[in-house]
Amino acid sequence: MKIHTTQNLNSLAQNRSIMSTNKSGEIRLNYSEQMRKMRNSVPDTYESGVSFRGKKEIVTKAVEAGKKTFAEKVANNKVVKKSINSGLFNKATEITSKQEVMVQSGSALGICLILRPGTLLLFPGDKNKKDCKYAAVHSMSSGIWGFVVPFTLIKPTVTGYNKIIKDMHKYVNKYISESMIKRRNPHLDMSSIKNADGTIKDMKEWVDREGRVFVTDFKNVRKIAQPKHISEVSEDTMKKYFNDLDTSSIKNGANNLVTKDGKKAHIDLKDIYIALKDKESGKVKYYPLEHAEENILKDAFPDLDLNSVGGKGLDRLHPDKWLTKDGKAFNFDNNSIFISDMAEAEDMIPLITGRVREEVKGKKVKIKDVCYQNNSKDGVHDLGTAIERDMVEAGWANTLQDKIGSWLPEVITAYPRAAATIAILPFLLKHVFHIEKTKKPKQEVPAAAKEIKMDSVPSGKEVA
Amino acid sequence: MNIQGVNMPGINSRTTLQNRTDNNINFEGKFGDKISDFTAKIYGKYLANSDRLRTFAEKASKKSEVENVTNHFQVAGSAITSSAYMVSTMKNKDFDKDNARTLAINQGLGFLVPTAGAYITDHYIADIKKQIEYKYDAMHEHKIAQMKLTPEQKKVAMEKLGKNLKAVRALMSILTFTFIYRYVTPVGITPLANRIGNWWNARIHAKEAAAQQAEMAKEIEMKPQIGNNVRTAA
Repeated sequence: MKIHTTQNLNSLAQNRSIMSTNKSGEIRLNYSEQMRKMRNSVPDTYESGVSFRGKKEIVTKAVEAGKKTFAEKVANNKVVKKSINSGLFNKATEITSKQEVMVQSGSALGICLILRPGTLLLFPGDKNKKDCKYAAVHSMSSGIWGFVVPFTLIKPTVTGYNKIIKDMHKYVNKYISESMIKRRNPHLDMSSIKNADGTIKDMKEWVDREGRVFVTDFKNVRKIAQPKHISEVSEDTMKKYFNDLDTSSIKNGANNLVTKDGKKAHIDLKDIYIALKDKESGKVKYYPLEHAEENILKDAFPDLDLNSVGGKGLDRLHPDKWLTKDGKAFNFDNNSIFISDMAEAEDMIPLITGRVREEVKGKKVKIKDVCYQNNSKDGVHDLGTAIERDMVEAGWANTLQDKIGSWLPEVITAYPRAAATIAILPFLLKHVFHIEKTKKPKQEVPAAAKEIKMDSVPSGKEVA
Repeated sequence: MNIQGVNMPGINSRTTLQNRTDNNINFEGKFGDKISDFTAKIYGKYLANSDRLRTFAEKASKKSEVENVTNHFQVAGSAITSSAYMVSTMKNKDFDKDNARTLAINQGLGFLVPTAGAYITDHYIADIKKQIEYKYDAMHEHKIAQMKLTPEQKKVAMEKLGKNLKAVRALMSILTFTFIYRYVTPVGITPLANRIGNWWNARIHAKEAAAQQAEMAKEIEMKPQIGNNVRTAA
């Protein structure tokens, strides 16, 4: 079933009545004012939402860089970039991916050991020196206590859960059933997990329903360097993509590129990307010409005879062999070529071809571009496994289930840990470290309230 | 095989391939394996293979954003901890009933106000978190693409990046909530709540004192009247 995306797809859910299905099973969407009202639900482009709302046109010149949003400016800030490229941030994300609780208690440890005592000692306010010292030591000890318990109890418990999920092949039908594995991974070909004798294969040998290597990750999709217009790429890059290019011909324009022996310069089909701009929103999306869906080609080249382009991937013919609707040779404008090269781009974008899927969240329905898993057979012509709706939904459920597995021990032990902290910490500080807060008159109301402030009975957030 | 440090700075200069298990952070080796095998048996399998939990996860994840679950769990943990402190305060014999109640209310507010603040902050930085995630992804994909890796090494590196990528937004949410709960609350909000509590108590006590004074004045006024009446009656 093909979906023509020349109209507003965001409103698909709310406006099912506006869809009509023709004999070939294609969905055509009518345009309406009601759709226009839906403009604000701009989808997440990284997760490849279809942001096109109006008619599309092919881009034949360099794309102007859009104005950066505040969030983009923050992410592009030098300090932020340096921070997210640091070993500490990287280690923290690595630990977070396995043990969120440990990151929480680790960051709390840092705050309780350094930041809070520092603030208390530097800005004592109306407290006396002894009370500040007590509060600082209490903060440090509560931070340590708040780290030790998760480290010794929660972390090994969660590791037990993670092990089963990570190395499913070791625990099939022991700790996790085959049906549960299938529910977690709807794209898995279950017949591939067993040997002929019924023993379970290593996960590396499992394959998915499209016959590719089985990959559990739905988030890390196949990406490309953001394509650049042919007029913008460097001479070196041009030489890389146009064999034997006479670089002096570059100045004559993309349609006049010639080789050193004067012939028309040739670029491989796999290296050509085209860009489509949504006339209404001004958004631009990039498609590999080798894999672009028919609806994309139709929008990009209205005069093209779609039957002349061949299939997709290796079956697609080079534009030199395409025909127009009236049977003449198709004149492919080289100015519509965009080149995706790592050396040219800072940003990476998901590889999309124009295929779309529905995404239902509560009552909201979004149409999103289909992305591909990082399991291409050859890394070039083969796209990788298409991430379909069932996979995305299983991915959400996996995330939720894994987060429950990760946080449940923390929540269950929160009360006894807090009770133990209240009972043990003041005792330890008094009898082991001989640090005690100043005694205040019992009846005096403000003083009694201050006891809380002085951390003898700390607030709930002072314990991990 | 695991690529250690594939996403680390200076990756081009020091890509080290090591044979180590990627499974544990510190609980490595045979002892660690034994412990995690044990916890897999007594805890992991019940969650990983639970039909009910899976059904719940499938249904719930279709209704709201699963990325926010980390925040909800942090709040749940904090709510339980705060309630433990409130119960402890109410049972503390060192405080009289009025003070204990005021302190418990302060502790409750010391949970509610920062929680609201943390959710609001997290909501407003959602776009920033997303953009940082994209930037993190782009930077590391670039690194991996520029490294001379075998297809197998590249696959491992991409898998690792994929896992880390899933954690970027969660990490920033955790840091936001933890900073608000563990720093802003005790340093800023709790003292403020205590001041409000003290002011409230002082106000109540002042009212009580004024009422007592008025009562006493009334009694003083009443006494001669009663005496007069008696005398009149006599």
